[in-house]
Amino acid sequence: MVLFNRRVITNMDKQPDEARRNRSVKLALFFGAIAVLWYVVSMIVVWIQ
Amino acid sequence: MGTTTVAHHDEHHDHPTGMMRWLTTTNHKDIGTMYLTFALIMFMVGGALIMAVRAELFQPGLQLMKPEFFNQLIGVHALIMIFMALMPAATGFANWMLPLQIGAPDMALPRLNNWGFWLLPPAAILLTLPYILALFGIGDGALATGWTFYAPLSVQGGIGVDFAIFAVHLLGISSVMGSINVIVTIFNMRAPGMTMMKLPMFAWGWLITAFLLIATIPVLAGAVTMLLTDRHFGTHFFDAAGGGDPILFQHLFWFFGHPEVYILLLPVWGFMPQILQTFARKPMYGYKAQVYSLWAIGTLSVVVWAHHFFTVGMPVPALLYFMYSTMAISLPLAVLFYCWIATIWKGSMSFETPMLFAVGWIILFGIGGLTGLVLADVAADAQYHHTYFVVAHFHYTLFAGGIMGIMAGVYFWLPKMTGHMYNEKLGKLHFWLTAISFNLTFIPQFFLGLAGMPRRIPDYALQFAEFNMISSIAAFVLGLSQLLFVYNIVTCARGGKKATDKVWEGADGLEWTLPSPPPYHSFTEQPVIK
Repeated sequence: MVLFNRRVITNMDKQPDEARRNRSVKLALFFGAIAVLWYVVSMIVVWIQ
Repeated sequence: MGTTTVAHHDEHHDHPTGMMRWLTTTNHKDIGTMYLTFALIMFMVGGALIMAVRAELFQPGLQLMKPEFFNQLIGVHALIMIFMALMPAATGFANWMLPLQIGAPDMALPRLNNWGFWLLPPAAILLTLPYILALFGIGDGALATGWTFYAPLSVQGGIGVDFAIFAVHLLGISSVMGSINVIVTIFNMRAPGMTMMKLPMFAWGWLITAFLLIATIPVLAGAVTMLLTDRHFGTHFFDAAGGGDPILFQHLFWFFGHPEVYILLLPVWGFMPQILQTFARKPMYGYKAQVYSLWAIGTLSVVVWAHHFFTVGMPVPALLYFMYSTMAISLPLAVLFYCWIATIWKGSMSFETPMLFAVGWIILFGIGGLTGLVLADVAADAQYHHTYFVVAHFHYTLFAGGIMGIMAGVYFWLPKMTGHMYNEKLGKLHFWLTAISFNLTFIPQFFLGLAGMPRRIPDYALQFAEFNMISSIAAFVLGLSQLLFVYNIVTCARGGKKATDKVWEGADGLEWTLPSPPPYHSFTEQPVIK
């Protein structure tokens, strides 16, 4: 599903190269995964307590 | 700091206008403007709630409201001011200024940026809706536990707690998404030549803030999720009657809650040295010392949480550990104060509104920090815990240190954002009214706390009447004087004297090389830092 009209994404065509964009996504996924894991782990720790 | 060509490029292609522009925008300046506007609106809403509280406390006895409603006002005021005024204001500045300061075309993840903002209005509606539902006989109003959600009160509370839990989840998701965006932008989108140790201090402050958010928000989310299951799904994590532990909730909450204080303050500590150096017309003093101090404070902030509940009953070694570790924060903070003062020392200072707020901020935030040291002492805290001393202390840190800092930032960058100069006389009047009425509101509260007046009560003993009356009158002056701030911003956005590109004589940094206001697409060519 296209969430936003491509033309609306104002700066995307001005962003640096594809490799840098991919690195941004990978970094975002990495930190997002840490946040979700931490959320789950904190609840598991409380559960065990 | 040198750049290659930074030319004006203001093609708007065919992006939508009107409401659709704001709903679908992925432009960092648009999103920054939305964050800042939202923060300003919620600042006024949160302020209105506390005006009602101060009206009730104007004299002893119950005049205007029931105690339950009083409690709701206090808790929602805090949640709004923290999550919907201060944090979005800092995020607004991050959106506006980080890409400009580090020479990036936009934030690294523009769609995520849009989504992060648009989670905030639903959260605001969720938090305040129970007030309206109660008017129609549905539920018993908003969250009445204070912003801390302490169990078992929150386990037993009305539907306002559920609404607040969902609101906090949305706010947390928004904050984590914003943090990821900031980290990725700083790590991956810097202009060539901008090494980490050439980052503007604001970027450092925000980078550490973003790490703190990712480290602590999931724990808060986990705690309130478990609170929800305690309320509705038969678990007993925080219910002593079922074998749970209410104190465990306090540990989880403050594991988030204490770093949250620094989450609110670190972005301000980032841009404040930039304001000081601009109006002192001197280079920033101790860049590296400030960066290392910010990291030290960020790290220490996640290991000191239990000083918020010394009186709950902890083993003496734990008390000593949390007392000394808390006091240790004053060391890197003292380094920061030294650097801020050294930056303006013997400078060629001028006192435009941002500088007035910045210098006032150093003094007032200093009082907040010093009174925090008093509360970090286990023995003294036994006396002052849950009194108005604590209320006065954290308003010196979060209103003077946070909101007045944000105000300095607004006056500093408003001409750059809007392309117009604000009304300087009105700005100065706003500063003096704010600074004087703020002190008259909260200095009496230090004395009330020392005399033993507990916080979060709608009624009090006769001996506290005079100080409360002074505090209430000053609070109303403080609240009303913020209308000047709103008026100044609105008139500046609509027109006025044209701002130059550099705006301030001593301004230094990439954002000041762009026109005022910066074009929709900031840089036509990526700047190179030499």
